[in-house]
Amino acid sequence: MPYRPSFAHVSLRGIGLSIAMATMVAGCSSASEGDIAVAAGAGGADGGSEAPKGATCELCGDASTTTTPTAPTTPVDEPDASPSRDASPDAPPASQDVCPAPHGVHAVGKTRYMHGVNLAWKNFGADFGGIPQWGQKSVSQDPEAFTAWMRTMKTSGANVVRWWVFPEMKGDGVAFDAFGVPTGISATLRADIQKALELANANDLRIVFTLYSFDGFRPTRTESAVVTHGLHDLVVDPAKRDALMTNVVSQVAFEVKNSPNRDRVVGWDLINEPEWAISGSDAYGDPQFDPMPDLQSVTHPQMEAFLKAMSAAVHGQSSAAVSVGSAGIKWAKAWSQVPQDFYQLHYYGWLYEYFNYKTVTPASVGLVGKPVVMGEFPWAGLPAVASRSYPAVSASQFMKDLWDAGYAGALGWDYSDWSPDTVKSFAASHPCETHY
Amino acid sequence: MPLRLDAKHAWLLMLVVPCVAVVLFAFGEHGETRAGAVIDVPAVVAPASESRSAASAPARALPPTVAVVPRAAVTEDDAAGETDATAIEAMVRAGHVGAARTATYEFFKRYPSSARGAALEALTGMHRPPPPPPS
Repeated sequence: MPYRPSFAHVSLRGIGLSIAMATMVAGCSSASEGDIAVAAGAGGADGGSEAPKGATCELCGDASTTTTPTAPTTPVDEPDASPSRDASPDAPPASQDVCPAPHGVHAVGKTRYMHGVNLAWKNFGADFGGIPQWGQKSVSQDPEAFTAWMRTMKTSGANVVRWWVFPEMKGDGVAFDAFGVPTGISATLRADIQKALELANANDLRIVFTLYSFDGFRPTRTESAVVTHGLHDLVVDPAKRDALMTNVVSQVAFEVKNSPNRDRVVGWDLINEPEWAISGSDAYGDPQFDPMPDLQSVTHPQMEAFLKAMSAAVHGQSSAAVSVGSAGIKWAKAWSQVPQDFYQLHYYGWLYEYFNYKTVTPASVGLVGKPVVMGEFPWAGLPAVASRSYPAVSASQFMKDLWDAGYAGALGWDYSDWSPDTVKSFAASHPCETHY
Repeated sequence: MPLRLDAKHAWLLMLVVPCVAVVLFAFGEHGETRAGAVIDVPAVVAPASESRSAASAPARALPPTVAVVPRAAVTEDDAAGETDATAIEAMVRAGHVGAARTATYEFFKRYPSSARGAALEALTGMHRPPPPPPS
């Protein structure tokens, strides 16, 4: 007989868990309170700070520094960007767009439905930069493997690939000094970005780069001779945050800008599901955040300042559209003050019961005026909710419903367990509107 | 000889017996997985006024709404993971999605081949962790 917890048992354990979590949250909050005012006040106070230079990159000291950028600037206080951004100077004018998707995302002179898949990584945290100590190769070090993946994606009807750059900062992608301050990106990382765009071009795919993830809020640690640098301090310390923007984020965006295949990048996802690393509430009336207890959480003002700085850094170098990979419509207003060109939501079973996508729509929660892309949903479909008589929803039905509801795209999770037939079928029903 | 209790002893018994029962049940083996780990099942009843919040899940019985994927053979992993998976589903329904995601992350590490993994991922949106680094 399966175990069924009694009320008494559950209560006692629940109390213990609550005390532990409350202690942890209180500790995080008190430790970072002093930074909140600084962060709020410093959100771009150093606009026009000097651009990253090759000389600051500790990993670029070899001959491969030929790609050292020529002083891109990082306008931290750049105003909100236009929803319509054209990434390619060679793109045809919008008037030549023969099949604009009704609610699509504009890029390279076309308005299209972002139809595709989350790659999302081949080697977690190693696709860009590599982890030589673990024998994990990056895109440029093992292009054949990535080529095979991308070829399959394309032949299966995908047009957009969401690809994670720094789900965690480990390996040889980013250099740090002894104080944990990021000082630059490596030659390997630059080569990886160039190779990724080259492969996308060869396979006629477009990329949405996901720069960071909630995963990055696990503590700094060393495993098998590899240091993983946690994001917490880089978010709450304004000086470290600015260094990250100047020496890493700007550099990555500049590397894209510097590529002959730059128009392959149609979007940026600043961070994947930051809500899981936030304690407390936002100031916009959303429900309280529900942080994962194994992460070092920050406050919403701290995360918001981080994302504003990152948006400015990316917009300063790239004309591709920017978004935040929100965990779900539950916290719909959380990033309303972060300059974005399209909204991005994710959807899994936990949302279905209380935020049924058929009734809780972007418009119903105030997400209006910009395209809305479903950046993640499970290929396995949504499980039924017996208590509300909600039926299970297949991925193909979900994709059709999103199109009908006016979404601007849908990227399933993920390539490792996707259904090529589902992707191909949808693409066949909207062949032009889904192809940039 | 019949057992006789005066009023004082009867009161003592009435106090002591339930306390002992609660302590034994709470700190017994219930809820611990075969791997020795404990996944807490929160018993939180959130205010009903938050109609759209997952935290407003009313208290109710805990049958899983995520169907268990049929499988040809039950491995030890599956059997051991069954209890943990059910507890994670209960956490989600009780509105503790963040904690459920962390529990799912640990679940993937503990039961990498469990047939319940795909359903948990579709429910919580928590993805499988990368393989452990080489030692």
